Amino acid sequence: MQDVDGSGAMSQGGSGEHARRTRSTDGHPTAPRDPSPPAIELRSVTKTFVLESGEDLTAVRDASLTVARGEFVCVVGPSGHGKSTLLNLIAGFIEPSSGEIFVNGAPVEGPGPDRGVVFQRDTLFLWRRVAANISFGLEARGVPKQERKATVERYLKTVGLEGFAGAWPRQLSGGMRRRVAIAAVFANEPDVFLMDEPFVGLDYLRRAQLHRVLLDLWAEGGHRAVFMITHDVDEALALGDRILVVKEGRIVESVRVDLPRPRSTYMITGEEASAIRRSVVLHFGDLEIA
Amino acid sequence: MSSKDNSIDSVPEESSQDSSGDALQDEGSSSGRKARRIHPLAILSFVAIIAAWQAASIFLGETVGYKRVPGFEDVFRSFIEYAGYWQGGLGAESTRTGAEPTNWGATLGLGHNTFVTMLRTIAGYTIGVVTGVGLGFLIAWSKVARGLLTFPAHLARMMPLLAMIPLFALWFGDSQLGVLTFIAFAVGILLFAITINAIGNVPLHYWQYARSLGASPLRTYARVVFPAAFPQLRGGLLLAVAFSWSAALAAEFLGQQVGLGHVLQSALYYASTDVVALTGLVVILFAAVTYLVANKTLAWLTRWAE
Repeated sequence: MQDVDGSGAMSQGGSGEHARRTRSTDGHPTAPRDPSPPAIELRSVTKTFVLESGEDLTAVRDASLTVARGEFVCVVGPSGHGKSTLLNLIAGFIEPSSGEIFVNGAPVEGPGPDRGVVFQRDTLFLWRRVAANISFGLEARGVPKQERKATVERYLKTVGLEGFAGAWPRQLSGGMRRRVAIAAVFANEPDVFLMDEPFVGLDYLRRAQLHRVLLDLWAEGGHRAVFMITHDVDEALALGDRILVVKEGRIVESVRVDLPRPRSTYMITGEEASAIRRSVVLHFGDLEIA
Repeated sequence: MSSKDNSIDSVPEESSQDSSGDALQDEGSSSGRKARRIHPLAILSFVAIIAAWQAASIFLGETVGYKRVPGFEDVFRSFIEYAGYWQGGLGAESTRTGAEPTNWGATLGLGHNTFVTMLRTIAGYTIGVVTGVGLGFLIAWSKVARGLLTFPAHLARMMPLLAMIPLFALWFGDSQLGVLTFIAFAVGILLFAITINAIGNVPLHYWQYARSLGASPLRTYARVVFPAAFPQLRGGLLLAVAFSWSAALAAEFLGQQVGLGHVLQSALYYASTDVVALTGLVVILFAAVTYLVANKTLAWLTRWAE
């Protein structure tokens, strides 16, 4: 059984050592040491789908994983190798065929507001204006109106969309919609953020801007763990405390990214980052590119 | 906060001017203006229909005592016949008491019968929409409701509607309830099928997203699934407007003593094709008006849609 813990080491059995709880000079939390239950814990989780043809397809195989509170974990791997299935299992959208999943020590039984999900697809409610989109989760949880209003204003400011509270989603550009989606999930203050390629399709500059937004929101949150799927190793290097490599349904690698924050382009193209990048991409095979 | 700078994103023109939603309405109305522009070929086709009608009335001529195809002059002259459908009052006596038909009496006769039919249409349409859409949502929501109601609802959808008029006549006689039930039935079974389809097309990730934000299944259904399905219902709701007028006229054949369907029935009995044609024109006019009102209302309700 693979067991990938919050310290970045792979071990056999158990949930492993809980990661350090420290803060870097810019206030971003880094992998903390905490006696309380980890943010996310998977114990020997397997998910098998039955195809229309009657054949079985195992998307996640015997995965064990511990994500510490406040830890930012990026998940990379080839398409169709089980990354999104892993996220859907933690979100509670699907049930594991075997194994157990815990969030903050509690077993996952369906979706819930303790796990905010930013989807790859645009999930903004088109019939609600920007402010109403951000307050949806707060309304659902019965937060009083005045408090909702203040929270929405704060998050609109954080993502730089103060002037767009009354706009319909269709009036926003792709990057602005992403910001609203991220703000809506962060405003709901979940314990864990699950993100499935949230910046896919955006150009380099917009991605960099949104990374800043995401890290600012994460810094504000303090003890919230992030589990983010990406195809971009550079993005994982820019954001993550740790990079997991998922291949053929298995977590085959867990690499700690010990670069200080904030991370510059220079840092994520430097020698240390290159070594991490190499260890990650070699899992995809030694491809002949040209 | 570094991302405060909005310049990183290209704000669409309409929102850079005004993000309050008014810009969107302006955009909607400008596209509405485009839609309202009449194409020259449409005018040509309209003129061709008028010419063909008039030619048919001239060449088919009079057959066994009645005009098979009445000309325009006959149609407009038949307006006075509506005086016979006024029961008296407001300064115009009923022709049944021997009074001479007058244009005022005809105006009241036409107005009264049109008003009654319109009220029945609107009431039947409303009941049909609530029932059909409600049943569709109930079936999509509840496994028990799905098990119980899917088969009978689809069976009802297969029934030949016009052939059911005698059955409704037997059940309800000439009561108001019979007319309303028939219209509601016609509209309801149409919208039931469209609603089921519309809900089926709501992307799953909307449901998942709302649930992950802490919304209960009921809140998710009411606040997310219903509005997400609504644009797809729009076409059906508009189709049902025209359909409800047809159903109202058909239902008024069930022995009603007032209403445009009753006028048509009497006119057919006396072979007054000119009154039938004029009534048809009135129905087209009012159906078009209600369609436009419904279209505008639904366009406003879905002004957020992409």
